[in-house]
Amino acid sequence: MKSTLKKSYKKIRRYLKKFDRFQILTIPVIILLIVFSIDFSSKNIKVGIVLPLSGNFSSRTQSHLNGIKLAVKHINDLGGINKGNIILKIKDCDKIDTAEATRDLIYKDKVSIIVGGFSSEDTRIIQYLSEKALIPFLTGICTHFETAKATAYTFRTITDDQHQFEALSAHSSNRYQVKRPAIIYDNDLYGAESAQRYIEICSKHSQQVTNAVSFPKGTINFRDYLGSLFKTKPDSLVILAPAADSALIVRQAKDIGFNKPILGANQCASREFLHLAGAYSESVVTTLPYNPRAGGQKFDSFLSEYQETYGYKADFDAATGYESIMILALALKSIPENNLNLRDSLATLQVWDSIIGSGGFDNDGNQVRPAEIAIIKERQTIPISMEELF
Amino acid sequence: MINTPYEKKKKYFSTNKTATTIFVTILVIAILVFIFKSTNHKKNDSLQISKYKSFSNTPQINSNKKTLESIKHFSAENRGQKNISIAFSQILATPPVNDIKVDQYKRVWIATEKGVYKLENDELTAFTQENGKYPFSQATCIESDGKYIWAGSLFGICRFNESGKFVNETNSFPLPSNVIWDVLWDGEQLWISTQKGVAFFKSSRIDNLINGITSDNTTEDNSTEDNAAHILDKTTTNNGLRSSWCTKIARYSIPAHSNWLAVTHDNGLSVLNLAFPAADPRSWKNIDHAKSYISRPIHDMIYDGSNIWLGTPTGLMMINTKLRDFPGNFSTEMISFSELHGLPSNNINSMVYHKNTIWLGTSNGLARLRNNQIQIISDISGKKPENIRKLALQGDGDNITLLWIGTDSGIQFINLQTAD
Repeated sequence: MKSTLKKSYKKIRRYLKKFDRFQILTIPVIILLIVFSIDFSSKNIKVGIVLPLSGNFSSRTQSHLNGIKLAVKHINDLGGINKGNIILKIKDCDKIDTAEATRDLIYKDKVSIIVGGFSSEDTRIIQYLSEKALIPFLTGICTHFETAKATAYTFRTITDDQHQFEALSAHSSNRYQVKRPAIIYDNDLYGAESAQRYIEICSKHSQQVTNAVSFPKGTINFRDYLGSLFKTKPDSLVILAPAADSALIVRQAKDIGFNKPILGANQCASREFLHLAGAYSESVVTTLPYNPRAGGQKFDSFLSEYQETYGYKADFDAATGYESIMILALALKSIPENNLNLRDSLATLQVWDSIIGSGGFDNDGNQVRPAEIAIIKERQTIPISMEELF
Repeated sequence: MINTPYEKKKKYFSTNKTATTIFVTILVIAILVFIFKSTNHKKNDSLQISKYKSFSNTPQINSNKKTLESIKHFSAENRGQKNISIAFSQILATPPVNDIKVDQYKRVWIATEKGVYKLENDELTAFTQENGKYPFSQATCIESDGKYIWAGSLFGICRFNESGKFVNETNSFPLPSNVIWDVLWDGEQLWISTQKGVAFFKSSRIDNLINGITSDNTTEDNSTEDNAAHILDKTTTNNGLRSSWCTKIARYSIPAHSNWLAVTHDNGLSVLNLAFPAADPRSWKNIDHAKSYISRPIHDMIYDGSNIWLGTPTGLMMINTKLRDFPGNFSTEMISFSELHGLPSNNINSMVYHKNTIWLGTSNGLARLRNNQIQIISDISGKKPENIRKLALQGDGDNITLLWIGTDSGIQFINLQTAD
């Protein structure tokens, strides 16, 4: 055995003696060159999703997630981005703490970006962690007015509450000559800050809020709250509350005999609200984060494919979920072209055209698309601009 | 026959010409590839440092910046503001800095996004998960209690021990959450602010916990009760502390008057008079975001011996009520300073107070507030920092000499004596 080894060693030595030292030196240089040239790192892009998927808001967040998944499927089916596929890492922040979920995505899964949010508190936690870790955070579902303000790494593809409230207040003033609205808001999702913001916006349109009351989470009977509001004789009711609560409020307000305009934030445009409020939803005026017709044929294709894949009609949460990933894809695609990192690439997206129309980020990373106003007719949200067609 | 070395060389190169050419060509290609790759890498690095949402080369932003500049100059001229230039040290490269602490041995401890770094005798030592000297992938905060160095992370708490490593102490300490945002030693107790409340431990208890004794009282039955009594959150304070997601903590003392615990959190600021029970909500003074128009989150707070100052994303705020008057005359009225007053950025990330001067670390450089004047600090030598994440002083009382500055890319310092 030893002699065989010795023989082969001698053979190799004899063979190598045929070459001079330069030729032998070339071998490690070539190896180094090959090793250095090949990019061994995976080109797949890990996207972290943090959403409350199993609690009270699961109907909306699942719909949003479906939109995200459909967008990822489309991107990956077309060969991915820059030769890499998008891989989703999903965390349900109803099951684990939002801070821990976000932390694990950033530091353990090493995702390139976090997408999601929903409630203002969850969104603030994700934003805080992302900003510290210098990881971009993109939300297509949280509309709270504070999000993405004075931040460097936070971006929002959905039109925020500030824009929605302004549109709602302006419309109520122009169309219904509302002067004395009353506000009912929840303590959890919108809170006193959003109500305060609405009151400030009202004053711009010469509206004087007669009363604003809040109710705690889990309230079922709103008659006492509505009673105290109606004592001040308002000429309209503004509801800033989650979809299920909004549906109960609308039902009970109409049962009491309130027949003046009822206005709601985008929660009233959700599938959940329409389902729970039923016939009571008729004539409720709501904001829409976008006009469904603005996307044209692209939106129709999205609707039909969504219906085919998930078995029910896509709502605005699904569409905004789809849009947020497509915006991310645009930013990712331009990274090698412009030699930018992902955050800077997102910041350059000042104009885009998506399935729900054109949009863009402002200097804060906030959506510039104006909010649409819709009226509910026969359990469908109809944009005001198209009302006469129905 | 070839005899001279020159002839040998000539013969050698003539016979091995092809091999030499191949070798040289490959070498040149390798060098070119290396240069190309490294310049590309540098380009990416420099872009990552850029913090602003938009680029300076986009026309829209240029115009915005111009407007801001003109406001600044307008404000500066009108207020007699004078900016100053001082020498900045070279930047010592580290991952993005979250916290800095200088201990009694003048060792500079730096908590970063990749672990802890120690600067001692001009030598920078890394304690990271990769080199096995730090248990977590990230460090949020760092503190020295005179005996131990404590590092808080989003994954728990750890302690620098005799073996020269940080050891995970998360399981030894009954914490309300492993997500830790701040650690503070006040001379008697270690305060740890977490995602779900503030925990505090007396020095005598710390050693017991490290050694596996879960309670001061060694009986098993009392241990749980004892642990629970050391946590302040929304529930245990009966809503005195308005939110359990606590970030910065500070202890302020007015000699022969009162002792205070200040906690910033998701709802604003809560300040507890330590002479009264924390469970009584009347012991707490609160400044809520919604009522006081403070932007979330509060990044930092300081006490100038009279008032509490808050650093927020939309400027610097001073609580108008003096801390001394909190018990009888508390009001949430604030005085604010912003870019309109001459700040380099509204986003105040960190602050320190020294000799009637508040030093401000902002997203757009260093500034100071002295005698009601804001001065922007520019560089006479070295490179002035851009996005400042943390400021820290080195020294005690009148012997404070250095101001350490932590940024996205490392740490540097200025000599405060030259600034004066």
